[in-house]
Amino acid sequence: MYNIEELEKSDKFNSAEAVRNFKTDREYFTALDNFRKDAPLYLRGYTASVIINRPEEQTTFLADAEKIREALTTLEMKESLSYLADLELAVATEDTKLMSDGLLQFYGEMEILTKQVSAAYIKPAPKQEKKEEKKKEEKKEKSGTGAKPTIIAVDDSPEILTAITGMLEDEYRVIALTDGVTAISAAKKLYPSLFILDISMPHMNGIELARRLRSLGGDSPAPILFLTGDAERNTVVKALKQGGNEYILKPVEKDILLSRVRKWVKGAARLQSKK
Amino acid sequence: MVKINLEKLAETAPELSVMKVLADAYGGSASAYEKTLSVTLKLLPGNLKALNNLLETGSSDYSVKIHGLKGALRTIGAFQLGLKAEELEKLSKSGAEDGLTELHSEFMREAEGLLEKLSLAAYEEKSETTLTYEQTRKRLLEIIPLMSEFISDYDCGGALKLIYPLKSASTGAEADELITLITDALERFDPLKAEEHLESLLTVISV
Repeated sequence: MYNIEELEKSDKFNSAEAVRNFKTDREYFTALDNFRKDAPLYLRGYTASVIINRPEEQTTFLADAEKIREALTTLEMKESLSYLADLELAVATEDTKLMSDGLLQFYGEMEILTKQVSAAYIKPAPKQEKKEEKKKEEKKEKSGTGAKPTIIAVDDSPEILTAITGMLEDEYRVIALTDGVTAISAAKKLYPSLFILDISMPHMNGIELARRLRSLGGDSPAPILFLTGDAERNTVVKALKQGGNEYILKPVEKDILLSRVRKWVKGAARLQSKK
Repeated sequence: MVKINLEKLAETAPELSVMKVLADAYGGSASAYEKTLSVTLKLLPGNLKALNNLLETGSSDYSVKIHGLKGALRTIGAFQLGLKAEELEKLSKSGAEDGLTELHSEFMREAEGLLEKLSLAAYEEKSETTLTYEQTRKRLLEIIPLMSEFISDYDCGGALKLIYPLKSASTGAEADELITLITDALERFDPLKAEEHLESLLTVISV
């Protein structure tokens, strides 16, 4: 729940306009919840020189930026869109300094917006809090975050799953599965910290699987990292719109996979501990 | 367990750039690369046979199968073969039959050549188990409930670690066959099939 009056004090977004973009107040508040959780992580983990010098990083970065643009537009945080435009210009002109400055300014802007939204957040009543605390503890136990965080990886190729497991198993408990239906059952039971999904799979592709995983609900759905050989921009955008957080091209390299996984699992754990 | 001698493979299969793949893709993790190669060696013959059947029957699943093979080949460093697989995928999707058949034959020849090289570099890791028939049976009775727990959590890797040491021990032909089926299912990340065979194994050794 949010204090509407408090929201309307913000000069950086128009809450009165934003609520009209949703069917109900509840949907608007859910979007604000997601913003509050996700905004501190927006575009984190990217470095200016890597984005400028690696075309595949640019594709992922621009896809992320597109997703963030949609979120900010829906929430009527239009003033902040200029920061994204600056970053896209930096990519187009291959200007590392512009990119570096742009990223810092963007992070600062997200911090301000998050503070303003958080200032309007109304915490649940104590009785509800105890129940949610218990639920959190059970979730933590099930996901094994006391030990290694759990990752669910889905790909129709056992060879690729073997490689992914081998690359990540020192730090994570990897549940590797070859079909989406079993993955959904596993997700309901295990509350993983991250999903790694192939896109092109028979019966249920990764995009459909992501949609169904997102529809499971829960207070902190785990991030989704798409791992695929499909480099088409349309597929990237579609995948990210269905709730994906990032997109890595195959064949994957251990260092890249590990750094991305660490970023998302750490981010998810940080958000979980804040709740 | 079948393992792969990476140094030997590097000599006999220069097209894989084994050491470069090990360093760049696997971050120096030999065990991760070896396991992937071992699983590829196990599954590639069946996958190639299936691919042939799909071409012969003119099935539209050919493009799906070759797409999967493309990914698996690139994962072990067979990039040139992966490129051929990509070309086959495109041809299959576009319906260009003539070009497809010729390239398919070329692909099969090279893939079978790779398979041979993988086989030559493979060796069976010697098991240190000296368990008797009865000891093996007793050990299986201990680990089956633990394996069931792992499998109920969809953790094929965890279950596999428990049963692997017993793979070369024996407790009767029927049980041995079931152990092979269980490890195959777990290596293919099929927890439901593994659970099914595990229940059968429990029945067999409980008698």
